[in-house]
Amino acid sequence: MRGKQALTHFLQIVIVLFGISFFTFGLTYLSPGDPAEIMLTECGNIPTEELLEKTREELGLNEPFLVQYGNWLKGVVTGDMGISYSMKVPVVQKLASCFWPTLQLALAAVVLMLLISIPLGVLSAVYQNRWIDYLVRGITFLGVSIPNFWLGLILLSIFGVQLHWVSVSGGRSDLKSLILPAITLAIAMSAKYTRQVRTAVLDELHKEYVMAAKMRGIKEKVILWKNVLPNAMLPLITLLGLSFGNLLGGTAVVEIIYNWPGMGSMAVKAISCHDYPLIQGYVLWIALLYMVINLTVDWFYHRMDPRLKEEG
Amino acid sequence: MRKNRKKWLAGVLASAMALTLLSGCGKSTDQSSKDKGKSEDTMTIAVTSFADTLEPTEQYFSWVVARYGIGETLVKFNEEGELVPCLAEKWNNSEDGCTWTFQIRENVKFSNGDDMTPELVKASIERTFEKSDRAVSFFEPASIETEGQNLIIKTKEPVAVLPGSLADPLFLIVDTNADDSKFAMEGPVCTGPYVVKSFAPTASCVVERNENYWDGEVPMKEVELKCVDDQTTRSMALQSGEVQIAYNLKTENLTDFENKEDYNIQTIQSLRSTYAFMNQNGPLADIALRRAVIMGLDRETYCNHLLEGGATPGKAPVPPTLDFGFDELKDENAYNPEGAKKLLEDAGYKDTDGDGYVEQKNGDKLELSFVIYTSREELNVYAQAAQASLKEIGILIELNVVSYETLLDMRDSGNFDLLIWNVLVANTGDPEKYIRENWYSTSSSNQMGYKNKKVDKLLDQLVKEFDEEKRKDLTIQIQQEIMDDAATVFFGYETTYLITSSKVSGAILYPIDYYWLTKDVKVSE
Repeated sequence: MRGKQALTHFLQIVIVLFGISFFTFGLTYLSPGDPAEIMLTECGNIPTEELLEKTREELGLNEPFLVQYGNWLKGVVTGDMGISYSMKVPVVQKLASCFWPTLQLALAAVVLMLLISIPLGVLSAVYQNRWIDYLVRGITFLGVSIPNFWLGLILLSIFGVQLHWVSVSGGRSDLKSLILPAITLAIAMSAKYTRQVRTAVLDELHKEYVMAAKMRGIKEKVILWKNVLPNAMLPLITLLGLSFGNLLGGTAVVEIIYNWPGMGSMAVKAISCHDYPLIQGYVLWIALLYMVINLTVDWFYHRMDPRLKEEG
Repeated sequence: MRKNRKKWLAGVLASAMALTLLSGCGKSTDQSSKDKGKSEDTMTIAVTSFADTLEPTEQYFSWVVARYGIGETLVKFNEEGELVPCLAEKWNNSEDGCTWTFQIRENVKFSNGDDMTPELVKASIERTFEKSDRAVSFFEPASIETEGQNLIIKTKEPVAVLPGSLADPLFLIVDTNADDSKFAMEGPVCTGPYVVKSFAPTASCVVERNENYWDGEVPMKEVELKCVDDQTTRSMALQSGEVQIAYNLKTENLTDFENKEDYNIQTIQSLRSTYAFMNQNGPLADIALRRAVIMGLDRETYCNHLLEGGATPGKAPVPPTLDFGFDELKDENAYNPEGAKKLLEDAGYKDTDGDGYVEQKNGDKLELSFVIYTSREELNVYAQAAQASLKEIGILIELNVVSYETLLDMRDSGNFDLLIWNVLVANTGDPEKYIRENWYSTSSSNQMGYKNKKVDKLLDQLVKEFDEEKRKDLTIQIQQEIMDDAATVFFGYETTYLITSSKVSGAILYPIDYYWLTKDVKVSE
């Protein structure tokens, strides 16, 4: 049974990856603009027609669509995603070098976000409709409304320019450069998650088992931390999986402002240069990540919720 | 209960540790950034993203190698945009114009200690032709030979701009005896004041003093060139003292630095020009309409007020930065809305349906499509201002905002009435190539249907003319023709800024900006 399930999952992944790669290749191909010309006019010069033709030939852009796609696919199957047009390095190498910083940033942001949103969400739910709840809801409202780039620039100007606590120019993926981008991402996300936690905890608090436990004289704190919270966390895990996938895809705006060398800023550059191999590699990688995260979430769900284990 | 207390204690301790860790980091950064500012032999320069490899024959990455003080060329441009000696001491050409002789400087060493011989210079230039497709667009050598200390380049046709072409960083001199497979990541072996110490693509490049430098003492021990793509972040990095020089800042950043003792601001009219092609395969075939369009545009206000001085008002193909007669050129189509209206009326353009816009001579609606892209903010400003100004004289403009990629397609298919363009006019120090590509009747880039036999003839003469004064004279004549034909709208020439900490000396903004980190740039108290 298990083996069959694994095989189905595997097949699903392969089919989805194939479909996605075909679509992105097709869409990039159809979008206006000639990668050779964009590459050569980057510095504001005018390339000659012969040079353009030669570059197109070198990049294989003169081939028909299906041949181009086929060549690319052949490479991928053998583990070669080609060479980036604009950066002249192997796509795999570029992706790998950008992924690590993004992973660091995503993990830091998620941890910070959980540290902020769980306590606030729980507080807000437990003291529903009291001043503390109103305060938290007010803050989250602000948090949702503030755009990332604005918050990023304000934080940079305070902690970088005025106080000299952190490096403004970034460019490195070390701890001190990590702090501000992680906080910026975490603030926006925690506003959303605090509300989710609040709703989920409130839902649980109104369930019968809570009432029953209270009647048995179990302390409210114990009920809250031992029973209510774990149950309330379940629906949040799916959401968290999606958010994490999103973060791993790179958060272009924050990465560009803080000069964080991650996937987001790389993807923006790749798209503006019509760098087919890099865009393809990026999309494929993100699709794969999402699927792996989905599977992990599923697995986690089963671990966390004994009821599902019995059904499965 | 005790268990609970333990948990709490652990929690408190963990948070305290996290806080110390964070604040500890803060302090160390504080210290290091201050130290950096103080130190006299290191420096950080904020630049915009450019190179992913340091192999100079790939794309335009040679520009980076030159700008970072690593590579040098046989000749270079000075602050006035004139050619001056560098690795070649002097040069001349034969009477038929097909043979150029460069006398290679003696006692120059590569950074690895090897002597730079004429043979190695020859090998380096041959390597460029072999590896870069771009090289032949400058000139095609029939032969390259050495003779004593001389390098002799022969061409089939006379090429007047050959020395200027060799000043393009593409032709910087590398040591071909070195292992060139390492050039991409470890930097090429060249003759510049600095050598690559470490290189992280799209992030930073650290260069250190070249101990074998031929042209005097190199002041800085180590310089980091750091890519900071976001303009605001770059400006803030300069304000925080983390970097001492910031390149490519714009007019909107100036307020943070103006009238402050801690910073120096240099301004230059760059060689970047913004203009709009006028497609003569449509209604704009009529010169009266073209003239009216140009006369209706208040370029002075656009540049001085809307762009807050971010550009110099345009009138001619070549900016005043280079001495090709900008001030002598007579502009018949200077801003004059009343004149434009009269011109339209005399030519038979009348507003017959009373909608405030003139109709074509045959009574059809006149609506000009102006294609623009907006990744450069100033283009958007010019286009919108043009639309408003032309409304005043009764010409209806429809703005068509597309991506740069679509714009290229639309230019090639001739699918426009006006189309915005933004380009460097003279990276060989001479605008010949630029003028030919845009206004020569059979050039593939000339998609606006502009044809003037006199311009073609003058351009053909220009290719073969070696005398500087005569070249200048020809270029002025060509420009005057293009202006009199009202062929193109010249909006303005971008102003560029270089903002440095006042501790920095020797940093100069060049009109042809291949030179950022030179042997003269240093930090002092």
